[in-house]
Amino acid sequence: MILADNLTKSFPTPDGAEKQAVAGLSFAVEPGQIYGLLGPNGAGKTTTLRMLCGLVTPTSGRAVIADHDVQTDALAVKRVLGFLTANTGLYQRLSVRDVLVYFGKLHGMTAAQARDRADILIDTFDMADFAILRCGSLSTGQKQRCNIARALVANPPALILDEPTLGLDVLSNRVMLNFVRYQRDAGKSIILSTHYLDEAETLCDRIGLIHQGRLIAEGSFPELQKQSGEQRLSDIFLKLIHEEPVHIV
Amino acid sequence: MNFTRIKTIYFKELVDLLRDRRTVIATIIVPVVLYPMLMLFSVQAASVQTGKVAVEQITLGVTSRDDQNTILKLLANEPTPKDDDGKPAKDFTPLISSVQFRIVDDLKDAVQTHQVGCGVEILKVENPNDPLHEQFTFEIFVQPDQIRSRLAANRFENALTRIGQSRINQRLETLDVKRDVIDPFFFKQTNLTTSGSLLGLILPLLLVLITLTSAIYPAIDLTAGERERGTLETLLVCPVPAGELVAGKFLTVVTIALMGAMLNLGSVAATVYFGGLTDMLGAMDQNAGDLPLSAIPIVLIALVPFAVLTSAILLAVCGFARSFKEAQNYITPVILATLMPGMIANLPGTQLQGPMLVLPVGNMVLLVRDLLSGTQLAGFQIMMVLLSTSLYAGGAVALATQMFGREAVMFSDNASIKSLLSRRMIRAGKYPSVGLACLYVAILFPVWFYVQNLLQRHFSHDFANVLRYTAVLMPVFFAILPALMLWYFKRELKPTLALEKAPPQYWLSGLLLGLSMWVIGAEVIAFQEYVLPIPKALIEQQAPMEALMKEQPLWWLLLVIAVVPAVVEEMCFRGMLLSSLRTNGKRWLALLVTAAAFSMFHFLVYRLAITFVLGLFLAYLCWQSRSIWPGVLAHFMNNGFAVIRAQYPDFIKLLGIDPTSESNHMPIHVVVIAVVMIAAALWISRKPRPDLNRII
Repeated sequence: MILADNLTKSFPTPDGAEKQAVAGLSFAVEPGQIYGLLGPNGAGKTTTLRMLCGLVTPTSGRAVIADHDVQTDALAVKRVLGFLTANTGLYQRLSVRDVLVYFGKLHGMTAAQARDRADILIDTFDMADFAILRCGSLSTGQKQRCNIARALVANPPALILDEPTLGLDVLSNRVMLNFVRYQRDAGKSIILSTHYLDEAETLCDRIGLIHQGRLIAEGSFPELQKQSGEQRLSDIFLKLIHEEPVHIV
Repeated sequence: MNFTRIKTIYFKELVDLLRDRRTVIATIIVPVVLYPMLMLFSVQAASVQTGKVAVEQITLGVTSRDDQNTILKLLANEPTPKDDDGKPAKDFTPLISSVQFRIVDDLKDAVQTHQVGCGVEILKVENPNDPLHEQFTFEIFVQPDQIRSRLAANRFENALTRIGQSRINQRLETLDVKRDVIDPFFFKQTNLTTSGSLLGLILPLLLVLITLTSAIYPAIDLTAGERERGTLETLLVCPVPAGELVAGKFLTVVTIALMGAMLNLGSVAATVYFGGLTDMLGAMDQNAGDLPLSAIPIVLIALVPFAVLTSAILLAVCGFARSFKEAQNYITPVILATLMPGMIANLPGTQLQGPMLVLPVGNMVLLVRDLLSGTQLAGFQIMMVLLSTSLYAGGAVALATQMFGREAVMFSDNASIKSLLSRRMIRAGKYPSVGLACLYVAILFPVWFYVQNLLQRHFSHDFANVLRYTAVLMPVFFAILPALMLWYFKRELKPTLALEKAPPQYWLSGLLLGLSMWVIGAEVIAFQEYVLPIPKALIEQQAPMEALMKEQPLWWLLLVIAVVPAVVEEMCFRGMLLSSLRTNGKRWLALLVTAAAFSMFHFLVYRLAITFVLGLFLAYLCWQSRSIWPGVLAHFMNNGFAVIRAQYPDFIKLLGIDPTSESNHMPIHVVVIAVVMIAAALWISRKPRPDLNRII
C-alpha cells in the first residue's frame, strides 16, 4: 500500500521567498489498484512522486510505502518500490543485460540471482533481440522496455510510473499498458502519472486530480463523471479548475 | 558499509568509463603517446637550438679598428685547453676561427638591437707590449636573457681566461716561480644529484598535473554527467546508501587517476631510457643526470594519497554541478588552487619541513621531488605528508558524501544550491553527519599545525608564552568553533558534545584509567624505542620545555597542560567526532577513527602510538557512558601526572620507580597494577549506557 499523508513541499525561490510546490496532499493506493495522479505541468506531480520514493524530503507530512516510512526508513522503501520516470535514464555504454544485472546486484542479489532475474525480465519484455546491445543504441521503445524491466528487477510490491508511455509507438504503448494491467492484477499498488488522459480513463481504478500542489478532486472515473457532469477526463479537469474549490471526495 | 555492493558499483563504473572514448584518450593515449612525443620534440628542439648556437659564429661589437686588431692579436694566441687526462681537448675550436667583428658607434644599442652578440670595449691597456706587465681592462656589454648574447660573452670571456692563464704561466716561468705558489686552492666538484635537475624540477609537478587531469573526466562523468543523462536519479532510487555510492565512484576515479599517473610515469621513464632523453638533456645541462629507476615505485606509492585527495576534491566539487559544462567551470579554479601550492613547493630551495609538511599538494610535490633526487628523508617527514594528505582526502570524501544526492543539488536551481548553507533551510537533527564532523577535523588539522608553528616562531621558543596562547586558542578551535558549527547546522549540542552527566560507575572507570594510563603510555614509548627511537636532537629540543615545567607554578601548569586540553580535546574528538560516528553504529570503527584523528593532532610521529592508545581508551569510555566527563577526568589525570612528575621527580619513588633508572620500562609490579586497573575500568564500563533521549 502507498500512503501520502498531508504531504507538503516548499522550495526557496531566487528572491529568497518560498514557493509551495505541494500543499497538504493526502491519498492512499491499495494493493491491486492503479491510482492515476493527473494534472498539468507544474502541478506538483513529479515532486510528489519524488517525495514518495525518498528523493526529496517533505517539508511536512509523511509518506508510507508497504508499511515503511519514507523519512525514517528510506532504504527499506527503496527495496519495495519500483520507480520509473521520464528522468530515470539508462547507462548508454552498458548493454540491456548489464543494466539489469547491475541493478539486481544493487538490490542485494548475488551475481547468479541477478543474471537469472535479468533473463526472466528479458523474456517477459521480449528484449532477447537487443539484450546484448548497448542502451545508447536502442530505440525509444526499446529503452522504455528496458527501463521498466529495471524498475521491476526486485519485483517490488509498489510501483510509481511517471509518463511510462511518453514517446512510445502504438505497439510499444500496447505492451506497456498490458504490463501495467498485469502488475495490477498481480496485486501491486501502482501510481500512474500521465498526460494521456484517455489512458488514465481506461486504466486507473482511482484518479486524483492535482492543481497548484493541491488535490482538487479524487475518485473513480465514473464518480468523477457523475460529480462534474462531464464525460471526458479532460473536460472534467478543465471544469474543476474553473470551479475550484470543488470537493468530490 | 556493504563492500560487495561497493565492489559492484566500482566495477560497473570502471567498465562504463573505459568504454568511453574520451576516458581512453585522456587517460591512455595522452600520457602514453602525446606527452613523450611533446617532451622528446621540445627537448630535441631546445637541444638542437642550443647546440647550434653554441658552435655558430659569434659577432663581437667593437668601437674601433684598433680594438678589433688588438683583440684579434690576443685571440691568435689562444691555447688549446687540456681534458681531465691532461691531453689536449679533441673537439676544441679556437674562438678566432668562429668570430667576426662589427665596428659600431654605440655598443649598448648594437647589443640590444641584436646587431652583435656582445660588445667589447678596451677601457685601458697598461704597459703595452711588456710581456711581464701588460694588462688589459675590458668592458663587455651583454644581454644575459638572450641566449646568443650570453653565449657570445661566455665564449669571449672563456677564451680570454685561457689566454690569461697561459700568460700567467709564461710570466711565472720567466720569474722562475712555480704555479703552485699562486694557486693555494684546487677544487674538484662531485655531483651527487641522482636525478636530472631538469627532470627533478619538472616531473613532480607534471605528475601532480597528470594525476589531476586524469581524475577530472571521470569525476565529472560520474557525478554531473550522470545527472545530466538522468542515470543519477535511477541510481538514487536503489536501496544503496549515499556513502556506498560515493565510495564506489570515488574508488573508480582514484583508479583512473592512478592509471594516468602510472602510464605517464612509465612513459616518461621509457622516454628517458629508450628515447635518449638523458643524452639530450645532458647536452643542454650537465646536471640533467638520470631518472633513478629505483625511485619510480616509491614515487607511485607516494602518489596514491595524492590521487585519493584530488579524486575526493573533484568528486565533491563536481557533485555540485548539474551539467558537464557547469562542472568544467567549477573545476578551473580547483586546478589553479591545486597547482598553486604545488608551484610554491617547487620553488628552488624549498624544503620539506615546517609548514611545508602539511601544505596540501605542496608537500606531495616536495616529497616526490626529494624521492627522485635521492634526498635523505626522515620517516616522520614521509609519515606526516602521507597522513596529512590522507586526512585531507578523508575530509573531501566526507564532503562528497555529504553533498551526493542532496535534493538541493539534484533537482533545483541556484537558489537551492544557496539553500544548502542557508540556516533557515537546514533541518534540525541530533548528531552531525560523519561528513560534517570529518570535514571540520580535516580543516582544523593544518590550521592547528600552522597556529602551533606560528606561536613557536613568534615567541621564538619562549615556551611559557607558547603554552599560554595555546591554552587560550585551544578552546576556540576545539570547542567554541565546533559548537558554533553545530549550532549553525541545528545539531543538538548537549548529546553531540556528550556533555550529559555520567553515572557513577563510569566515573570510577575514568578514575582508574586516569591512574593507570600514564604507565601504559610509558610502556608504549619504551617498546617504541626499539623500532623508532626518539632522536637526541628532539630530546634536546624538549629540554627548555622540561625546564619550564620545573619553574612555573603548579596550578598554572595544571591549568594549561591538563585542564584545558582535557576538556576541549574531549569535546572535539570524543564529543563531536565520536557522536557523528555513533550514527553508523559500528563501535570499533568509530573508536579507531577517533583515536587515529586524536593521535594525528599531536603532529609528532613519536607520539602517534601513545596518543592512539590513550585515545582508544578515552573513546571507549565516552562511547559506553555517552558522556565526556569521565574521559575528561582520565585525560586530566594523565596529563597532570606528567606535570607533577616534572615538578617533583621524586614523586614516583613512592610507587617504587627509580627516577634515575636507565631503563625506559616501568617496574613490573607497576605495569601489572596498571594493567589490572585498566582491565577493571573496561569491565566496570562494559555495559553501554542507553540513549536516554531515545527512551524518552
